[in-house]
Amino acid sequence: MSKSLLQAQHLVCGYGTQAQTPPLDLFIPGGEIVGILGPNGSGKSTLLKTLLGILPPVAGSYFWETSAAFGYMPQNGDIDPLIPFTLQDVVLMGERPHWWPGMSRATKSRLQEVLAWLEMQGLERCMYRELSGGQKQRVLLGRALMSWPNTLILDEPFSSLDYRFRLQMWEQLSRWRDENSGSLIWIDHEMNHVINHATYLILLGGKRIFSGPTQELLTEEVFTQAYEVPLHLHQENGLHQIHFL
Amino acid sequence: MKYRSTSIKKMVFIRFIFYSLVSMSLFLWGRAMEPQLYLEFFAATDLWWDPVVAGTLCGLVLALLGVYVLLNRIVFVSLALAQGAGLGIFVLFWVCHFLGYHLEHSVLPFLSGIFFAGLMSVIFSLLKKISGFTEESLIGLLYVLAAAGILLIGDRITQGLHDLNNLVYGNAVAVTTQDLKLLLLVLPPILLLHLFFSRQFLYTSSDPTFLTTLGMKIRPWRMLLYLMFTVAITAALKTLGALPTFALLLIPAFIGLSRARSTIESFTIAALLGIILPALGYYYSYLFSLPTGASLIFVSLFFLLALGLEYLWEKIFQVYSR
Repeated sequence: MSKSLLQAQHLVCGYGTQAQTPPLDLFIPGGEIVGILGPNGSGKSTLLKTLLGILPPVAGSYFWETSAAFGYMPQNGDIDPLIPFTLQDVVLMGERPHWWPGMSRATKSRLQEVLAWLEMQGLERCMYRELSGGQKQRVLLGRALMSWPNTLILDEPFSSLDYRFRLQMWEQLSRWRDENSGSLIWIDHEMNHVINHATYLILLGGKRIFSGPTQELLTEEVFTQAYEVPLHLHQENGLHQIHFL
Repeated sequence: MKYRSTSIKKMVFIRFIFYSLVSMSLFLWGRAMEPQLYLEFFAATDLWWDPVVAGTLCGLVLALLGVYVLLNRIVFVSLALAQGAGLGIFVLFWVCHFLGYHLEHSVLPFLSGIFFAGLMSVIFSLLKKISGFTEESLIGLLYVLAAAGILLIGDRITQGLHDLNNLVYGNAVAVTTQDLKLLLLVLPPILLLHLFFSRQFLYTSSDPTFLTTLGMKIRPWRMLLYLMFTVAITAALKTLGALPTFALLLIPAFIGLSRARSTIESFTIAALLGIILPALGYYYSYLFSLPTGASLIFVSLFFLLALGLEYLWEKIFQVYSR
């Protein structure tokens, strides 16, 4: 059995004592591309926030592998526009702030690496609030990458992107995974994208949660139960497609 | 789309020089209008040295903290904290009035003010946690209660109410050496905290959720920031009075943040104005026989006009474009 990245036992997520998800048992092996799917209000973001330690679990427990280092990209990249942050300021936020003013040589070098990786060199002095939605998303990805993560956790990273930017960002994420052999966990509403790229699925339904390798979960029955509407699954040009009936 | 990528240092330099020139113009204008009083003003250094030093020191610290106040949208929190500090001083005065103890030249009022303002922060946090009401309504409630407390105690103490008002709300003209010593004791540590931890304060103001994922504790930083507000506002209130304190907390930070293209620029411009405004305020107060607090606001209006000019300049010439 491969080493786990994340294990959860009877994990219930929610706010305060109010549960938003049914109990969840998880075993995610390391190095997987994990897609989290589910209808609106099923608790996808709440699950992610719980796993990141932003919210305490309502019940149950979870354990990350000790060497897991996260990079988190939130759903909404709206940093208060009143704060005159430059692109560089936002990326640097990804490194835990230190007390001395200025940047260390290592930080400078990492910043340049991340900007080069994002193909945003020369833009570091631009105001973050003046960037387009797609560029903001890329900057937030840069922020998540700043602290050398081996696990990227993304909450609807493509939500405000058109197809061109979506493709561009997915290519960047795939490149990151290939170069770092890291794990990727992301929430998405675009089912067809997730089922074709994720190697592991967490499918949150209102009453039940399904989780496991994508190939095992990829049945009309599972998706219909999770979304509580009839769904049709088929293959087209070698790609899986799900359609609402 | 074309993005502006002007050098941060260049922007800071341009705006620093611009506001320095505005200050110099105001200084020279005052001299041109009242040449005789101008000479008298510089001959009577002893009269204004302490108040100007106290004003510039308070101005510098309040201007820097004002940036955090505006970014966190907590202008009314600072007002409520000040009212809490005022109540603390009134309560102490009331108790000492009965005991026959005199509070002149004592640091006890300052400590009592900080204690009550701190207590108010704790009550605010607790109420926020248990009541579920919005921050604004709770701040309003605490502000009203503290204000009513001050009025009630003031009504009980008929003798020496004028002195008490001076004690609580200060008098920018009558700054004592004792007041100055107190400021020199409490304000430099706040400056140092800002210098070393501005990144933590800014980041926790902008995206606390993200920082939690890095394992950073948000609450201690927020508490430290509120403690800095409490100490600085109480000290400034007791030395300068209410109007200059709030003017210095808001106006330099407002101008510093408007049009700023980096956080360093906001802090630099706010600090510059925090130092200049009290000095020019005293100068104009002397030259034109204006009340000191109102004089500071009067001078601020010229800087706000200068900010308007900056906007116009940018619209017309687009000078900051790449």
